[in-house]
Formats: sequence, structure tokens, C-alpha cells
Amino acid sequence: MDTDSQFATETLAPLRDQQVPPLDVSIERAMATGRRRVGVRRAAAGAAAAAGVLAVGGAVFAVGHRPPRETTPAPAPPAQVQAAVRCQVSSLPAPKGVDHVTATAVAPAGRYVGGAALGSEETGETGAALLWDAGRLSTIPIEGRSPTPLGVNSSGTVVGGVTRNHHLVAWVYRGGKATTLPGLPGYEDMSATGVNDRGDIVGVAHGPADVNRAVMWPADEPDTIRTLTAPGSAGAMGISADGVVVGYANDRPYVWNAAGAGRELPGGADGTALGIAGDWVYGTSGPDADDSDYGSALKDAPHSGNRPVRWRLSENRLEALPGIQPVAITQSGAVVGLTGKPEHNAIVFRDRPPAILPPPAEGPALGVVNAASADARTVVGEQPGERDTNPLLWRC
Amino acid sequence: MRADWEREYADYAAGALPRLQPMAYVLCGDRHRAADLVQNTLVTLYVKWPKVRAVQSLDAYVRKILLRHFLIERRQPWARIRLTATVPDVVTGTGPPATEDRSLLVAALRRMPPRQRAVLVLRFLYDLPVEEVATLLDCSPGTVKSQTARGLATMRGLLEEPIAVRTSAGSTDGHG
Repeated sequence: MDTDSQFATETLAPLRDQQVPPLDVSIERAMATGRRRVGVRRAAAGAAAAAGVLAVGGAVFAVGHRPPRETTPAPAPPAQVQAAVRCQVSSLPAPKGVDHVTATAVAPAGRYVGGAALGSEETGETGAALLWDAGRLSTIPIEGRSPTPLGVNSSGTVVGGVTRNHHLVAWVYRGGKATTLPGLPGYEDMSATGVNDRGDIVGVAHGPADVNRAVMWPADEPDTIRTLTAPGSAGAMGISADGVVVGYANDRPYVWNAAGAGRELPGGADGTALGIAGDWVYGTSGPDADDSDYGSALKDAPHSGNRPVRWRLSENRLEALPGIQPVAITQSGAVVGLTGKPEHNAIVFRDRPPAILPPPAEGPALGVVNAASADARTVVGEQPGERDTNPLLWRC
Repeated sequence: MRADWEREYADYAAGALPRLQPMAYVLCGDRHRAADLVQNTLVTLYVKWPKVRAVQSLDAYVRKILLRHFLIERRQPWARIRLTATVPDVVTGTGPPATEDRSLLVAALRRMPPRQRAVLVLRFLYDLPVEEVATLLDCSPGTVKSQTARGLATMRGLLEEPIAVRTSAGSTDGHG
């Protein structure tokens, strides 16, 4: 052993027999969080789920749009929580006898809300996809385990993923009928991540060795799957009303115009664009150049663990959103999302500093947001509890 | 059926916890962040379970998840915010000598850049060879060696100033 190694081994030796104080860790809680994420995150982003940074009970935030500055963009100031904005929070009706229910998607105009019954560990129930039409609940007839809506449009078309025989399958529910979307040969797992009002559906084909393809099921050819041309492993995470698609390619945030031509978004490596509304895109972007030392650790989880940002396409500009994990953006650039960890959930809305969404009146004062309407006046999510999960709806 | 593999997962997780907790604690230096790290590792493992449960070296795989979370989460803006609100588990001088040594060490480790810290812990506390550390951290063996050298230099510097370590241990870990 050389001198350095000996020094290090001897120096660290006292740590070998140290007592670890009791840690607040719970396998049950991990399973509850994981169950939600299998539905919402895994289907949405595949490997992105690995980053797993969102804590249960994270606060909910949105950031108001501020006119872009002319000078070099500086990061937005750290999120400071403001008093609750004026929103009404209510629970959506849940199917009888199901303990864990969440709302995962909402239509641009806020009428339709998609969600899922997460099934029961005790009974081995498989879960169910749900649709609320102006608050009225119905079940979407999808076979398989843990079907999860990831997008809903203004006509009530719902898209998502479901697990069958340990593989993820993409589906669409349109005109009262659920259909499996065609897959891509050689790709084991498919998920549909978004749908626009025209009915164009986008998604991800998960291939072997973590090489994915960004795919689209066009509205005018519903039985056809197309791949979006992109370098490296790619995925489509969202589509705008006019057909602009966002996602990732080669571990970088990426955008395809309505004609299918792609380009990288500014911000560098290790990121993904997660959603789009008009000129605005939100997602994550990689480490700063001076911090590139740690970049390789993010290789397998480039999509949700990194720096949250929003882009303005027309200006090819990005802005950091420190302390916010975004889940939706509006046409005016307002961002809805979660904070990392304060125990109160908040949402932010329109003006800086971000403001809190009111927590539910009953049960744990927690509200996790999953999606928002085009104007962010309708926000949906869930109230996580130890024994049950309630689907939540905020009207602002 | 879900219930079957969930039981399998829960059994594995229960067995792995006694190994994951000390590693998380040494890396993080306090029990709150260590708990978060282990909890997040368990969640990721759950999400991936249907695909990974047949992996042969499952323990190494889980260790890799934990390390990745450790390195990634140091990067989160809110990780830094939380640091200032967390009371460090550092005993400042009144305990028996061994405890104090350990506290100073933990404090010194906390002040090191996360990747250097991880490399030192894996190589010299867990006695893993360079190649295995490289695999766990997704980097080249050369990088492990250079990080080791830098880590040792950092650690020597920190241990030479025990007073500074003690007084600033609670608020200076902003590198990650």
C-alpha cells in the first residue's frame, strides 16, 4: 500500500465502526411514492424516473411571467414563498373502495381531467385510468396494470401508458373507445406523453440499451407511428397546439417544428424539454460549464434531476428557475411546479415571488401538483397521505 | 401480479437497508440528508424493480443508484437551501476522543466536493478497487485516480485546521 492510501485508510478508519443514528426511512413510504411515480413519471420519461428528486409532500409552485430582459439573462431569484393565492381547492370524486387516486393531466381549457386509481397493495388490484368531465367521474376501459393518463385535450381525448406483461404500452381513449397505439418494431416499451387539440399524439419508444426514439401518432393517420428525426437517444415529451414538439435528443433538450425539423435548445448537455405552450417551453438543463466535473454522474438520469429552466423559443433564450420543479407552463410563460422540500405545499402563480396554492382543508396540509390547464387557472394533483391519496383540483 | 413483486421488493429493501444506511450517513454527514438519500434510493429501486430484480449483482446496482442520487442531489438548488436549515450531527469537543475524531472526520468529509468525498469513501472505507469505483461513479479509472489525489489533498488541508472545521461545519457545504 502506498503512503497516500495508507494515510487515507488510517484517517477514515474511525468511521468503520461508527454507529449510524436512526434514519427516518420507510420502505412502505418508498413503495407509495414509487407507485405514483411508476404511473406518472416512468410512463412519461422512462429513465428520467431514476433521478427521483421530488419528495412526497413537496410544495407546489408556479412562477409568473416576467417580460424578458434585454441584457444577458440572469437566473431568477430563489423562490420565496408568498401567501396563498386566491384559489379554491377541492377533492375530485374517487371510485368507491379505492384508497389511492391521483389526477395526472388536465385539458387546455380545464374541462377534462385525467387521473388514475393506483390500485391496492392489499388486494392486488391493478389500478384504473380515470376521466373527470366537469367533475363527473368515469373509468377509461384499459387493460393492464397501472394505466396512467399523461395527456388530455379539449375534446376529451386521453393518452397515456399502461404495463402489460412487464412492458409499457401506449394507448389513446377517443370517442368513448380505448385503443392500443402501434409500437415501433424492436422497441420494447412505448409511452404516449402528450396530445394536442388536433389529436396529434407524441411519445417515446424505449429501446434496448437505453436508446430511445421520439415518436408521433399523427391525428390524420391514427394507425401510423412516425419517428421524429434526431441524433442519439431521443424522446418526445410534449406537443403544442400548432404541432411543435419538445423533448430530448442525445441527452440534450430538443425541439421539432411542425414540419418535423429538429434543433437543440440552448443550455448544453444533460437536460430535457418537458412541455410547451405557444412560445414557452419548460424542462431541465444541464450543469454549468464550470461544474462539468460532475456531469458524467447524470448520464443515466439526464431528465429530471437537473437545473429547472424555461425557454422562450422566439428568442432562443433560457432562464433558470431555482428551487422549482416545473410540471406545466402557460402561453404567457407562467410556470406551475413543486418546491423541493418545505413541508407545506405551495403553488405559485403569475407573479414573483412564487405564491402558495392553498392546501386541502381536511387531512394532511399537502398538495402535490401534477398538471395545469393552458392558463393555469385549473391545476390538478393529489394530496398524499400515509393511507390514502386524494385527487385534487384547484380553481384559481 | 403487483402484490408478488412488491413483496419481493420489500424483502430485498429490508435486507439492503442495514448496508445502505451507513454508506449514506458517511457520504452525507448528517442523518436528515442520509435519510433522504436512502429514501430516494428506495423509490428509484421500486420504480425499476420489475426490470432489475433479476440483475445478478443487485447490491452493486443499488449502491450505484444511491451514489448517483448523492451526486445529483448535491446539484439541486434546494439541497443548498436545506443545508443551512439542517443541524449537523457533529459533536464539538466534549465527547470521548474517538467520538471527537469521528466528528471532525465527518465534518471534514462534509466540506469536500461530493465526488472527491465519494471516491475516498468508496476506495478507503469500502476498500473497493479503482475499476469498481469507476463503474459505480460512471467515470474512467483515470478520473477516479485524479479525484483520489485531489480528495486526499483536500482532506489533508481540512484536517490540518480542526478549529475551522468545527466552527464552520454546519454552514459551508455549498460545493455540491
